[in-house]
Amino acid sequence: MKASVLVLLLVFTLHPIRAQDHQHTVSVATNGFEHPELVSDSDAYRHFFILAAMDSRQLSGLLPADRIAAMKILSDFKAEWEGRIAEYNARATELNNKGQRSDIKPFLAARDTLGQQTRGKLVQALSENGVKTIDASVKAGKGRMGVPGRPQ
Amino acid sequence: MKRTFLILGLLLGCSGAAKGQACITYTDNYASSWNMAMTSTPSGGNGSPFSVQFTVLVDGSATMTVNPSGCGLGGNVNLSGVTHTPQLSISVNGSLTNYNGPAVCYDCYINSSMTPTYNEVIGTPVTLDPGVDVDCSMGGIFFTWFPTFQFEGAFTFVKNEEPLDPPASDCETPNVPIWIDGAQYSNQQICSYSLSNWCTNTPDADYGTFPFLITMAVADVKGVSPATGGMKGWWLNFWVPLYRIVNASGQPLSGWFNPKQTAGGYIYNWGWVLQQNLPYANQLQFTMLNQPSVVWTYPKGVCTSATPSSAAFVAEDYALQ
Repeated sequence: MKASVLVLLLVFTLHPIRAQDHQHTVSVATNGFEHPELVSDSDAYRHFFILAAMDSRQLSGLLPADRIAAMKILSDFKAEWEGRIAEYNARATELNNKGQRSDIKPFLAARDTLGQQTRGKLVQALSENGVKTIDASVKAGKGRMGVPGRPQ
Repeated sequence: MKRTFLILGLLLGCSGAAKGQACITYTDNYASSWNMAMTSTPSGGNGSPFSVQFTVLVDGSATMTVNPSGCGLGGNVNLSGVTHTPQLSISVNGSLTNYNGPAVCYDCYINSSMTPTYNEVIGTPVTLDPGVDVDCSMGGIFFTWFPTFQFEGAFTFVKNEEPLDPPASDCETPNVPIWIDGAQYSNQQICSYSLSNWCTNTPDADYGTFPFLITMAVADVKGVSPATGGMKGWWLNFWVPLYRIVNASGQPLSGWFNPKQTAGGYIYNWGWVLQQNLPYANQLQFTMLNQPSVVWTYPKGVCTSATPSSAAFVAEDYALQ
């Protein structure tokens, strides 16, 4: 019986050991449909670009010529973006394995620059209505996002 | 009994060490999103099946800070081999799909997605719970996102004044009145008709995007219903639909109207209808009261039958609510 009590006690307390030993709070993302103002254009455009590059049906609001142009630009974006992630992660893994930290700030800055450049390419290549359609899709997409930050 | 006290003492000791300062803190910067697209075209009205592909996506990074004094155990914390793993999920009417992305180093950038496909039916509301966690092999789950949404596969009525005769098998008579040219028809036949058959050029109809972002190759939109099951979910909870008429260049010919408040708009239990006559080259735009910057446009299509006929019929198209 004593052994059973001990086992039960151990089972029920095992989780608290881990949780308290590595005490932290879980961060809960804010819903974009409740607070779209907290979703940055940078995040919203990047996610739209990724989703549209994965599935061109996201571009179905565009006229055919705009759709073809956008698909090409977003396909290039996807290849470039995934390449940069792989490159950064390889470097970060190597540093972490040596017990060193990797500074992600330059990577994040380059990420946002790539997003801006991709937006610029779309503005150059698409009709005015096509650009407006993508802008509308991106803004609508904010409602389906979760982002860090709390409402004021 | 001594062993019990020994374990309890160890536990209390660990807890005490962690009270003053957390052992690990995370500053996360993850963006999560979901989307959906029809992957098959429904063949009829309410009850007809269609498949829809969902995408759940997370990307971003976290800065993990170790505070040795908060960790107990002498403050020695070994981060060797610590990884972060994205855990994606989606529950569609309670049917759950999980996916764990690759575990990456704790300073790595996470970019992970999954694209499960579900089968649904037109006219049946669906509860959707996408979910994202990021799990640290050392500290456990430190980021989470679990919103709830509702959507409904819906069909959109489109009236085109071209004289076409769809086969009877493609038609049904809904138990609601239909408005055509300002007149109400109680037993109006509604015909499911492929938009591509209307046009001799490449049609621009597409069924793939959410929300309500289809492009229809129609020349003369008469009525639109955003949902067969009534205006609810997104439409009622968050947005009030508005519409306006624009010309072929996108220039507004009217202000925004709420179909509830205009003589040309009628609300039924399956959605709403406009009965404004639109000139052939004009377009109908939709927006939402709470989202004035979001505009969906139904553009003039590429139909070559430029002369509308008085032989009106109502065709059926599909959109997601």
